[in-house]
Amino acid sequence: MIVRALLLVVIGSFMWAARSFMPDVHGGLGAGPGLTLAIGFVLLASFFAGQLVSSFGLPKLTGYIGAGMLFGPAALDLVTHDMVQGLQLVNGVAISLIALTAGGELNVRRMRPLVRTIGWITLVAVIGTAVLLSGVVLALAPLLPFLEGLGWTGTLAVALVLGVTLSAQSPAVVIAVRAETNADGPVTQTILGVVVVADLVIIVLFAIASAAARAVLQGTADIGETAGSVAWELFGSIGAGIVIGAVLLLFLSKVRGSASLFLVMVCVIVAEVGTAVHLDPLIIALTAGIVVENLSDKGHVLLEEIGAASLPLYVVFFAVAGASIHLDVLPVVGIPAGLLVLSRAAGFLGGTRVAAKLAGAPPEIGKFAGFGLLPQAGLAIALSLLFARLFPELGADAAALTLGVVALNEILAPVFFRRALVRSGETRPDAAPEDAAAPEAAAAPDHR
Amino acid sequence: MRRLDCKIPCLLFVLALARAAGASAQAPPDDPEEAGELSGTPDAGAEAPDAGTETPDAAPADADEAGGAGLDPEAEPPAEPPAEPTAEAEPEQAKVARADKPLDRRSITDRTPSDVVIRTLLALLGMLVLAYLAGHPRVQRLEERLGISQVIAAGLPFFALGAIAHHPRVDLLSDALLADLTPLLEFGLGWIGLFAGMQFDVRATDQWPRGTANLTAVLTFVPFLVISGAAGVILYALLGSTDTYALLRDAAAFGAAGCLAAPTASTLLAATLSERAAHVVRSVAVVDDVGGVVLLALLSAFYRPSGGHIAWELPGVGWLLVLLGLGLGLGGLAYAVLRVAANPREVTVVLVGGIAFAAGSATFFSLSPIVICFLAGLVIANLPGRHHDIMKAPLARLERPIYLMFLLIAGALWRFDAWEGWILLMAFVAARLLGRALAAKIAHLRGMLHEAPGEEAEVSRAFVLAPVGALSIAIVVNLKTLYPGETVPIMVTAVVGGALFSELHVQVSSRYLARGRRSTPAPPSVVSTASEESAP
Repeated sequence: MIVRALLLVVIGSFMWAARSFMPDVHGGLGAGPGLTLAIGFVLLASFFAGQLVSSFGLPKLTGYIGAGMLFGPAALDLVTHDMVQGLQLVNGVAISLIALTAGGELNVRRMRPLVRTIGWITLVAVIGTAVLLSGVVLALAPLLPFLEGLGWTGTLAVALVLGVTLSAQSPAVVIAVRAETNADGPVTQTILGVVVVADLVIIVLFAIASAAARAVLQGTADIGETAGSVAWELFGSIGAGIVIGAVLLLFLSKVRGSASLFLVMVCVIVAEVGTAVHLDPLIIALTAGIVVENLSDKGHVLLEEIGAASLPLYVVFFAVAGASIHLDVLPVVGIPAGLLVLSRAAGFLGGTRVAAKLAGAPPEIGKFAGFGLLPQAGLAIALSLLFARLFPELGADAAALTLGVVALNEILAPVFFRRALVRSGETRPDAAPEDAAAPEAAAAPDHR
Repeated sequence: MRRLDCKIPCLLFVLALARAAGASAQAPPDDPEEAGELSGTPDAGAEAPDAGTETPDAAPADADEAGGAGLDPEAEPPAEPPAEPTAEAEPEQAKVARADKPLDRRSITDRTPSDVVIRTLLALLGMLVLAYLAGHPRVQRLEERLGISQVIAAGLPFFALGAIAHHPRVDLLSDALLADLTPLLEFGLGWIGLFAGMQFDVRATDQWPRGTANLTAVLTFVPFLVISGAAGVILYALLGSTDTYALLRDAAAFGAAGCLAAPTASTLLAATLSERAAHVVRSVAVVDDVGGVVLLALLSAFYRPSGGHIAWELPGVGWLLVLLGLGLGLGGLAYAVLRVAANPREVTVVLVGGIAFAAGSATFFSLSPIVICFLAGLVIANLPGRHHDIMKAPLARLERPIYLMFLLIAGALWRFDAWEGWILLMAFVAARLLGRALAAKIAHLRGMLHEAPGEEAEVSRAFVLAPVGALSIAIVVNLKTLYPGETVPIMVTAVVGGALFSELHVQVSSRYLARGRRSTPAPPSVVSTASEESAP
């Protein structure tokens, strides 16, 4: 452990020396040296931070996120804001790869017994928590200056949007922690199913809630247009995902040899082209993974191939997520954000217990599955930033609040989630931490 | 591996298409309505002036964007257009990117989203078909019969592909996109440098034929002088430059790139050489990389670009020491992190991270990533530990795609419409053949070929025919990142063209010579060529 800590210090010192040499580094066109350096530094520093925290029994991704926070613009600024911007391509690819992994894990036949439970948890825990959080925002309105002067209707509308935004979860964290702990079983499968379904639900709810809020606050929303847009995004993405899945299937069936490079490139395409035409890369890749897993026997090949190429992307992804956290807002919005985090946790944990009882699920699901809904990362950050952009009249405080909640959940929730998985008895004790650093560990066929 | 060879260019085309699609969506539109719609893309907040007026339908599309930093409200409306840095204040690397090309990020903005999707899907399907065909046994047999697998192994089709993709009519690898891919280029340079460095395990020097060092010195230095001299004359005649400093620098750089030989020389000419003679040729081709790297190190230190934000002012010797210290220091760091990695997947992370860190540091200091990564490779290869074994699988998996990707980008730098480049190319080919022939003659006359008794003529011919290798191309491409200006694209054209010529030349000659010997050797496989070329 001391060696790893020393290496982390040495790598940081190298980076500091380089940054002091040319302090004014810009992203974009001239970002070549800064960006290459940033990629290398983020990979090495996050990798060692992950190893360091795993020796304390924490998830490695907490180390990746922590390294991003520590070395990112909010703290030491060794990785500048421009460098973080430059790393967004990696983020898009990582998200697609994560979604492809999640889709490849979703075997409809295996999950059929859990469908009822997943449905109830989505309804009670996810949607219920969104409603609960809206209520808490309403209750906290006197503490939130940006809600002043909006009137009852306006406050309610904003509270609804905030409720949906803050209830977003993170399939990426679930996939990563599951892989690290090598967990499998009803609890794990239920969590995976819920976060995937909830992801779609949250996107739809956010579109509806934000359109309604803009209609109330700005009078600019067009309901028909919003419905068309959501339909295009959902069904268009699913359609594109089916086509991509078919192409992947063809490739895996007909072309011999390694497909990992092909998969990474497909994820680049999905991330870049999908965004350019207003489709959701996450849904596209998720659908493609589901197609491969459920319409062929190539699902395990897909996961193995992803595993061969994914670890560096994952490390960068979580580190960038950490670097994107606005630590500076925490002291400002600490109390309301803390209350919202607690409410959110209560909503998810309590809601899951109720939903599991309603569905007649095993007690472990009610007891532990809620912890898988707590982590937040990419989607939550994106929704928070989008919220800030859609409602500029609310000012920076609103964005600070949402980002503060996300920051707390991003830092703390993976630790509780990992502990819950261990306590559920679904982790494999033979999985050495060093061997289970990425989804590839979970992707091996014998783990299924 | 051969299947992968064919897949990668197609993949890169699609990547370029995808990036271009992203660029088209991120470009600031003329139409204000369009601006509102496009603000849904991650960077739009920074680029579109009225991103805050985004239409509701863009909202969900944004919502799924990962990470979210691209949607940072700090970059939100009304975004001020970024201030143009002054010439003095602009970082040197930014000048490199902007040096000789206008931005054409919007080159395909006239394409509609559906057009982009259709093109992408067609490219994806086309790529699938090509990958399938390339892996088909009949196609492989045909390749072997035609002998084109060697050309593919050398990666030359990737130059052509990169050049085609860069052509204005195709415009997939535009100048702006190439500038965006600069980190990939730097990483590729670092990778090649690291591999070249890792070939020098001092424990293996005992197996070199006697006199290899002297022979290599002659075979490197004489061609260097001849090529540099020719380049100096031609560049002066073509460009009429009166800047002696730049002329000397360019000529020396050109000579450094041209004086090296690919380690594949012995494989390509295997049919005409005994095993002993092939060993001599191979040893020299491996050792001469050191000469090239030393020359590049001297150039990088003594002709280091200055100005901009660079905070240190050191003499050339100082920069040489910085170069050495940085390379050896980062090598030590890479060695330490590799020892901590427990399995091939972790090795992949630290290897990619280490090379990116070293290459990025080098470029940060306006030094050569090849040299620094070469030194790091030397350290890694010569310090003890079990990392040698654990590195093999990740190296084998990553080597080919990275190398070919690098060649594709190098191909995009090939300006075949610049006539000066073609003239320099002819001079390069002639000077290189002359220089190597002269060097081989000197070596023969001075009895340096004693390790291949009775085959001096064959060994000399092998030295003359030895093709230009990846390191030569890397050196000249590295010049583009170090010294932007009108000369470098011409030199890239010449060296890349020279590589193509030397590759074809050695192919034809080896077949002719093998037929003369009435033997029909099986062409060496791609795998063996690749592994020989790059194995540590």
